[in-house]
Amino acid sequence: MLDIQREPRMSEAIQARLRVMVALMIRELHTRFGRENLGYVWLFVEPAMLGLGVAVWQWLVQGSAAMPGDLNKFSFFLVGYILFYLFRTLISRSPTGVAANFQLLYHSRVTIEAVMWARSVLDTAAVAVCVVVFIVLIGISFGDWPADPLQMMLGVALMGLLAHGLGLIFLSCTAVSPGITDRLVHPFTYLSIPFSGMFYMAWWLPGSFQDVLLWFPLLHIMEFVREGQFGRRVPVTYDLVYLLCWIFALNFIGLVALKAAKPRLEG
Amino acid sequence: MLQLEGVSKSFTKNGFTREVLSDINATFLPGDAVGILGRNGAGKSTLMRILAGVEHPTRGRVHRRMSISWPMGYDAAVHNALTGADNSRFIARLYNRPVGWVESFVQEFSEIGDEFRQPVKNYSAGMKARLIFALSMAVDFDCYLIDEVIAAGDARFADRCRQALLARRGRSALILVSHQMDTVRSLCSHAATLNEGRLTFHEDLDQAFAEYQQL
Repeated sequence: MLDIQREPRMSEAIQARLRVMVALMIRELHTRFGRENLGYVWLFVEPAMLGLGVAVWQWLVQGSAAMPGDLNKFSFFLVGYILFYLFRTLISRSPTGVAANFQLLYHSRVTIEAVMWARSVLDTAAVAVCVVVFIVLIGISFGDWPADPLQMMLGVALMGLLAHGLGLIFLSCTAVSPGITDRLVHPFTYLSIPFSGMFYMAWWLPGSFQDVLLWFPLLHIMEFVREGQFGRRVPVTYDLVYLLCWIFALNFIGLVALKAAKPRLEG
Repeated sequence: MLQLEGVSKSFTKNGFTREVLSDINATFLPGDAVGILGRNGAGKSTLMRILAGVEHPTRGRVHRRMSISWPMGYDAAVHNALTGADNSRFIARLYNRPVGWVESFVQEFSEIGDEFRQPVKNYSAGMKARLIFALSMAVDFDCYLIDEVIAAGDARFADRCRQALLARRGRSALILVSHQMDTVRSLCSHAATLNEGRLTFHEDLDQAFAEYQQL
């Protein structure tokens, strides 16, 4: 290896980071979905099974009752659930980000940030593929094709970014108390459900409810994805600038907190 | 170059803070072969982990201007659920080495044989040590961090490790922590002692050994 006495150039640094990320993602695929299990199929089956379960349950409970705006019930709940699944999975896995990958940190090139990024990108990509598979299936079975699939994918990416930033904050909290953080994360994800728009759209609700719920960024993402899903058939309410501010702020706070927490995170 | 600048590390447990390393300054250059002597609990492992970037100092900075190996002598650095071959490919990708070449080099150097395709968790301690050492040789680091690796594995492999490390003297830096003076003497040209969190460099090995025996 070359003896690098100088600071590496920007392009070299970016290349090196990307290489580390790719190596980490391949490894994460191997360890999480090993060869002996159903292999990579699980990556798609896991969210799909959960999404399917909720959709079937909703279908049974609601019987023949029509959805507001006459939306495809199956498509509505399935996509909503899968999107929330991404949020939940990134958040609930975040406190163990260091402990579960401790061996990786023995390589000086591997940083905690890179490990977290690799996981978030992998999970987001998995969920994106899952959404694609389901919109194709729904399109074939009900003839109900999404208005703008690209917007839906963008929504998935936004959800990934939002959850990534929040995950970094939770990970940093484990420096103060791993036990308490672990206990808080699960109630947090459950309590997020009513604010996520997983089971409703903003326009179904009275105006005063909307005002409060639209403070929460999750609802904005959900509405954004639903616009891509159903187009202008139904009114959607979201503010991309507001959402991006949240994403930026959470990621910024997350990175700063992680930097402060690092000396106390290991072990 | 690997440089420590005023590095301190303390751990807090049950509200009680203990400083393991205090205000360590050191510079390691390619070609240096430094032995760090310290009693059990002197902070040798913590120092290694800070050098490797596993842990971050509480105060001070670490500048890394060369590629630095993982600290050898621990079980870490390989994943137990993955096979030796999987681990080799991961390391090759991580350090930008030809994947196929690393795989065959490691299989040959480690002398693991067919079990190379088995998960690492099925390996014996000696096999694992051989795998980890072979991996580090495949990457070809500028600086090797070694924590009593010579003790692991059988005598023949220990000797091969020593030969491989001696062969890179002058090219790579070597930082060895140990509480055995013999190990340090066989591999190092300089030595330092670590005591009560402070690192002291010595003129020559004999002086370092004399100092160490006083501790």
